Amino acid sequence: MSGRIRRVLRLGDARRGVDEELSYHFDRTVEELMSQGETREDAEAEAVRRFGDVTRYSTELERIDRGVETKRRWIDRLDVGRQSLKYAVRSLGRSPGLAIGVIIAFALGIGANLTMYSVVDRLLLRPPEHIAEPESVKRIYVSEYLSFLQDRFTGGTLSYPVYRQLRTVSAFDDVAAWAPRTVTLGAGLDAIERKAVFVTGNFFGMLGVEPAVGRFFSEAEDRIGGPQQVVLSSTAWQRDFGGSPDALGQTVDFGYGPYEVIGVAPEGFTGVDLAAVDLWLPFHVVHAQTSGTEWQEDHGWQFFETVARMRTDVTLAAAEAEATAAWIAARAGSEFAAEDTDPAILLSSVLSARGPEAPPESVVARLLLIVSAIVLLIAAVNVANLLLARSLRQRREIAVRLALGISRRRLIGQIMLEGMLLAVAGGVAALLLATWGSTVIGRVLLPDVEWGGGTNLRVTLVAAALALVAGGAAALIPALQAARGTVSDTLRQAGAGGVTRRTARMRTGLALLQTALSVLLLVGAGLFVRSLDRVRDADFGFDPHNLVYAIPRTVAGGIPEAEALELAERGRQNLQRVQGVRAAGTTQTLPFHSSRSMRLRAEGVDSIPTPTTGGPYVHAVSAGYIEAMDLDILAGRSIAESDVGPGPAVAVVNESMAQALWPDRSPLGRCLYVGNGPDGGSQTRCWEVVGVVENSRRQQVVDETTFQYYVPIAQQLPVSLATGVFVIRVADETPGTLNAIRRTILDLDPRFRYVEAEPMMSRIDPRTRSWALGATVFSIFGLLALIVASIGLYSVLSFDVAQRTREIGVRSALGASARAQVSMIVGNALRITAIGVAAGVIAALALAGRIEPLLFEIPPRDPVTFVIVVLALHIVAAFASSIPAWKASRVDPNIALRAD
Amino acid sequence: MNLLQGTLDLLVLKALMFGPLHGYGVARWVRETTDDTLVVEEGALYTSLHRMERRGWLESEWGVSENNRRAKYYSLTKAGRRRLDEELSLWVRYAEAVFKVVKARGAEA
Repeated sequence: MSGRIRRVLRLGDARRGVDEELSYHFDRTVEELMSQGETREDAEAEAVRRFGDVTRYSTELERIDRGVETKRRWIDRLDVGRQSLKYAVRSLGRSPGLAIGVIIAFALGIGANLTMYSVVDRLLLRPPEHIAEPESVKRIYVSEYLSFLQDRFTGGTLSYPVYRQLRTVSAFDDVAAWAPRTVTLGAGLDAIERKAVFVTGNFFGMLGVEPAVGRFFSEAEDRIGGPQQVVLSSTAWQRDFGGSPDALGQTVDFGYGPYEVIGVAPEGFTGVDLAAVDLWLPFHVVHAQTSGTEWQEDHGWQFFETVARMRTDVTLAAAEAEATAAWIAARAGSEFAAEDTDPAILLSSVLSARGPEAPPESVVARLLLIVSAIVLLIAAVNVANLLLARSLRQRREIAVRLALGISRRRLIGQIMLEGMLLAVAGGVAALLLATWGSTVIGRVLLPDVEWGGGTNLRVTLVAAALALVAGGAAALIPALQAARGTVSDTLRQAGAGGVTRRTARMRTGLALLQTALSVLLLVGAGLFVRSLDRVRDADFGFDPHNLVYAIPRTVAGGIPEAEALELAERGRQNLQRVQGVRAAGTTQTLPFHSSRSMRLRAEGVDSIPTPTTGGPYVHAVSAGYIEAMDLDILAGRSIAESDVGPGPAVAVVNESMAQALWPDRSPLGRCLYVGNGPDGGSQTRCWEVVGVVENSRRQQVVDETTFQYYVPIAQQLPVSLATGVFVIRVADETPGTLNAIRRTILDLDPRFRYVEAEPMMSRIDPRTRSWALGATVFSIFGLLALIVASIGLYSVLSFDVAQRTREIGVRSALGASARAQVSMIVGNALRITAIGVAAGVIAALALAGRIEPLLFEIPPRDPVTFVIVVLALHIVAAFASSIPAWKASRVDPNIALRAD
Repeated sequence: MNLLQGTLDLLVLKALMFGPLHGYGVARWVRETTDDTLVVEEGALYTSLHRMERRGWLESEWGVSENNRRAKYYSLTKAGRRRLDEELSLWVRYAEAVFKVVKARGAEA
């Protein structure tokens, strides 16, 4: 037998192989028979007879052969794969510094994306836990045209009569309502607050959630006079009852008698919202808290939100239309019906961040996801650069391998495999980083949201996908570059150190791209940080720092009005004597908490123009309130102690209101007619304007024109909050001071169960969260980008210096001073940076308009930010280039010229 | 004489013990070694060869035959050699047992 020929039986040739094999045997048989004396015809006939039914078994043989071939191919592939992997690992092991650098770059880039993705996933993508078929569960919003807004207004709260009507809508399987409330367990200084949610009896059933322990209360049990039951959340069960099954049957008392624990909700269940919950209470508790049945009949009581499960065979538009009709029907005949203009029910996703009342944090989160993609891009560009530099170093080796016959395809595959290995390692590190990062972001910047598990399957899959895509993309450029050109070209380039004009341009281009992207991120960071700064320093009118508000909560039944006012006044006096308290006042409405608006007429004014913020808003306050809030009186005087009680009624208006109502006269002495007259007709009693106070924020951190006026408490105005809210200007906001305040108020009357006393900033801080989120995350990403970009710049420059050793040596030998060498390198670096920065600045200016609505009182093209970023990047570039430059200046021409 | 499938495999493996053969060669060797007593049927032979190749006991290669034509040669793999050893010892024990029965003079009373 002659030499071995490598077997190349391709699948299509299986048939041919079998045929050829069998025909060989056939021919030999015929020959043998003929050599025994038979004629050809007889021999062939005999051979045919012996072979029998050839077609039958030749098909079988073919089938067997195909199986053999497929198996062999798979073994080959696996083998090749294993070889490539081993080679890749060995090859990477030879430059560990680079491998680690790349892995870190990937870990940071992918980690940043994963972190933001898990935030976005929780806020915008993943429906709340334990809801069955969440796509058919819809939140109900009502949208109306409001004339004073000149625009539509959308809100999620409804009244009970509307809710009842909505339950009859045929397009809905069911409709349920819920209202979050804070309840206090225990009394006095030791009382604890818990987050409760009142839900209608059909809430759990409609959502399809099953209790973890015990049972839920039913629709039948949720009626006025029904049993007092409570369902614990899993967290509350673990924390307050030790997770023991004995919890069932125990009672919880939050001021309205004992409520029996009948079950525990499954872990992670927070209803339709994402905020943490402690207790689930039946809706009829509202009755206990308010007494009377107004809450069930009055359209003015809009205190809960609703959610519906849509029937699957109905379109969204049809359901909305039917619901709108129901809404109109429910309100027909009420006093509000006349003002309803073009109402429409909107059904929106169960995730509130995707509906019309999306909190600004979710908008910022979406932006940050894009930002994190930019960070990944920077990291990938950096990695591409590093890998490119490496493959240039390996040019000789690659040339040799090409000469030995490796296919270009295999070579490209090999280099890409190395890139992917690094990316996968980076991806694993990124997962860990992201788990930690998202928990931190969640806890610090979005504390209202219950985060549940850190990593879930979706995030892991996204991590894997990102790693593969990033790795592949980063490795593509160097891979293609390395496999280009003929063998001789490659060897020649290797001799020259691997630097061709083309590759040098490519690497510079990548460095430019990195710089430009870093500019974008840093400018964003700067703008958000300045916004946050502005927010913190914003002039609210009143001074929110060192200001404490205190709201006493009473037992069921409350306190009669006359007593309440007297208690409030006594409380105010007592508080002023407490150590650390500078001033105290009471009010019925508090900024960032509650507002009130009543019918108003003004003397000499035909109709009061209403600003877009609504109103005018009336604050019923005690003497000392305006002083405690640190509001400046601009004209006239403030509310005095003598104004409280019988006597002429007075009012203090804010500046905007004074200017709008009486633009060219002094408002002092004018009359305001507040509310309705005694028989419901026009008000005739005059509240004389005695002072003008500066403008202050009512509900929004953003500055808007609002009309606000202040009247003394109890001048024949209905009182809504019993004793009202105490506002106290303090020297400090330590727990000691807060407790002293609480004790003082509790001591006033045994019917005070608990006092909520907190710094005013705690009510304002949640509103600043979106800027805080943007500032923090942008800054972190911006810093990351800067680090990655400067490492990239550093590596490009060092590589350059290493490659141009010969050139530098020549220069040295020719007499160039060390200083000249250094300035050449640094100059180069600064030039590259300047171009990159310019590109980045142009891009930032162009995109500025997009983030304008997310900033606070900072123009998106703020020159200060831009200047700082430009300077910072140049300084960093100079710094990053200083080390390679120093190395260049130390090059010994003798060694350099001898080096290859 | 007709052969059982298992025996055929054994014969083929043994045939290849001395070196690679093509299908025709295996058939000829068996015929010659058994003095024309056992004749292997072509269909069964090739089915056996291809099956044993799939099971990894044989490997095949196209080569040039003694009359200068292309033919497919089979040879034993390491696993094939092991299989041959196992089958041989089994067969020998079986044959010895049957031989004892055949040679027996009578049943014990």
